[in-house]
Amino acid sequence: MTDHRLNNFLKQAADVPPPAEDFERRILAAAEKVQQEPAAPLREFPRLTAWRAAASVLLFAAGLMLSGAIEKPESGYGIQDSGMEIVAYLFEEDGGML
Amino acid sequence: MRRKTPNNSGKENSPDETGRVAYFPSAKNSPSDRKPTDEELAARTAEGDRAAYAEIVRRHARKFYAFAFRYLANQQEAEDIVQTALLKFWQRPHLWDASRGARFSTWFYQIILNACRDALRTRGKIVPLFEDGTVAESDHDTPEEALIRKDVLHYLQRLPERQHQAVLLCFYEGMTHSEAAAVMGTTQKSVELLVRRAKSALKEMMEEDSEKHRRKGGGHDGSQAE
Repeated sequence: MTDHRLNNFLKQAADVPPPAEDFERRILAAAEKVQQEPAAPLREFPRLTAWRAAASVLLFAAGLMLSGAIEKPESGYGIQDSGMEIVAYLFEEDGGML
Repeated sequence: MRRKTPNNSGKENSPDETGRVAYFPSAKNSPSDRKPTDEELAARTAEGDRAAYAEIVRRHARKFYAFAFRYLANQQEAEDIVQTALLKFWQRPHLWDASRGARFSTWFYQIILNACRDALRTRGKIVPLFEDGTVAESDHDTPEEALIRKDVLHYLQRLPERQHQAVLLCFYEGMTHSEAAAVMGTTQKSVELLVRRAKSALKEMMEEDSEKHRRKGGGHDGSQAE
């Protein structure tokens, strides 16, 4: 089947039966009976959330700094990354967990 | 001087005929006498301007109805959906956010499309068009025209949902791929692909049906209907 034939077939649904004669009038009449709702106040929630998220991150970072978790270890391993530091601690011979 | 705005059917809105035109007067044009854009009318509707709202209804109600009808193949459902959507827009015009930069008609097509999709899902996949005459035939149609239209809409409804939507928007609403993409919330490339696939699927369906009818030795053949 060619595109041309398909297009001709589809074109036959281009015209649709018109809606009821008073279609628009019915809509306007229905609108007459209802009042507009006032615009909802601007939602502050996303902005507050962003501030809260930022504040949480800052507090967490400050907590880490204060606890000394990001400080250089004194054990001599020279591992500065705090994650690696924990791993190193686990494998420590004296006092390590493993 | 107040100008009467012709509606889609080409008839003038007569105050005597409706009795409501005083309440919904035709929207006044701007000082430069140009027609207000849909976006301007929507903004004025948000300020409670009933005339602006009436103008939107006159401009678009039939266009959206035609789209809904082709989607659902049901006159009553199409009318109800458009009426409900336009009424909701009157109640909550602030839902349209001009600052997003979308055209009003694009936004409203999205609303109608979603409503039609929900209606189709609620009532079941495909209306049995040929069994119970669900597609209303109007006085304006000959029985043959109505039957052929049912046939076309029936084929379209058998397409996957997104392909169905893409064909309706691009083929019948005359939208470009990028406009259809904005309504469907996808990319232009995606719409191009959907239309191409829809055309292939339609051809395949029609050839299959044609073959079946040929084997049976007659009956209604969609591919023959031109």
